[in-house]
Amino acid sequence: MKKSPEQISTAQMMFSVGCFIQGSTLLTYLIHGFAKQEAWIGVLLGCLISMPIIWMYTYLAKKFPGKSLIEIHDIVLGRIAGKIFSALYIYFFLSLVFLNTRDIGDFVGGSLLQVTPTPVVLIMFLFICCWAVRKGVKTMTRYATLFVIIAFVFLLFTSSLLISNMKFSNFLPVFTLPLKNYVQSAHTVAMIPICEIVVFFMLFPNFQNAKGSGKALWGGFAIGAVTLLFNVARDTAVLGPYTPLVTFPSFLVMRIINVGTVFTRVEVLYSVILISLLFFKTAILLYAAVFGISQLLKFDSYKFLVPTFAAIAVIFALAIFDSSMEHADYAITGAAAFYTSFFELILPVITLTVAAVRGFSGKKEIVPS
Amino acid sequence: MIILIIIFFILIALADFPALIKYKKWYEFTVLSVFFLCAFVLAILQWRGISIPSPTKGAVFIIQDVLHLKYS
Repeated sequence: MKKSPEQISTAQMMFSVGCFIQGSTLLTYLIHGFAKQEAWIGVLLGCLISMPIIWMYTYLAKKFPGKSLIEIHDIVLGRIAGKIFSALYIYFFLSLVFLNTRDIGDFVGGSLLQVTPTPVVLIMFLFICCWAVRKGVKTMTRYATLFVIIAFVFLLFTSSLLISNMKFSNFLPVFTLPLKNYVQSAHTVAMIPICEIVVFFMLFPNFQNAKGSGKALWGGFAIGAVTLLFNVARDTAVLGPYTPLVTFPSFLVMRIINVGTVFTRVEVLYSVILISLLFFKTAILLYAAVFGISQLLKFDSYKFLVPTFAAIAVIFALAIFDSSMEHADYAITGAAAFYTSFFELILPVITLTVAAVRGFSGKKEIVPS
Repeated sequence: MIILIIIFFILIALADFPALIKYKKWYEFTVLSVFFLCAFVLAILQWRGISIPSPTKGAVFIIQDVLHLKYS
């Protein structure tokens, strides 16, 4: 596959990683469900256990600068095992596209457009994702900075409007839950929003400064982690013991805002921002999947695959779960966290170990082609 | 509904197949045709209400029933 002429800067990559993690704020209800009023502790623990994993990603990225996961697998594991690992990752990225598309369907269908058929929402959403992916990585990531700034300013602004509704006693009592709840919330935070950034390995061939991958991943992680923590703490302070009982706590919190008669119905703005973040996340995942397929099958371009895989994503987003309850059960029982752990922790550890055994772990560095 | 699905897939086909034929990229054309046909068949099955195998159900079976990894 030819090297893409589209190059993205370290700052663009960093904001893209941050925006990608911010795109998961819809799923904070899981953390509230596991850790109740101590959800903020779950987020902090999740961030802590993600750190060695992100360190592993940066180590791999620095060892193989400018290489995608598919190329790294081919170099480290050889042609056959490398192809098997790559195929597993493509399956993983596609399944994340289906799951995130389903999330948007459930959110829009449940909270905004209740009488609109879900396929209509999904087709429109994936049409925009498909369009963005076909425009290329540079165009796609250009908007990440804007999305991150808007989401962060909106978060600060709405939090300031909610100060009168916040009760800091809602965070009490602390450290009263069984150990299992902390473990489950930390595992979910680490695996579902944060370590999904493994997908950015598919963007590294387009990375201008291959040695700045550590800065981009850590910077993006910091942006995403701060947003998650702030979101979870605000929702707990406002909703208190009701937080674990609602499906979209942030959405409900936005509905509470009523300053005079001017700042009301802010949830509409929140929904627009959330859908924009999820659009970015899904577009990156769709790109990773089709780019992975094109590298695996040695095509010159990935663009012709995008519309067909967007259509497949619509079909599987509808078929992946029979109901919203089954979707929630998938996350609550921990299946989602264990499933993602396999791709975000176990497979990279195997790759790193084989790289060490085969002598790629010394000072020798794989020079980009 | 079936008319909408057919129109939708014709639009997808028009977006990419002509360029692949024009530049004689027969390998890409073959692979895309396979994926395109799969997508079309899956769309018809979904429309007819026939259950499509969910990509997560297999993973959930391995995680929960084979490996017994479950929180609650």
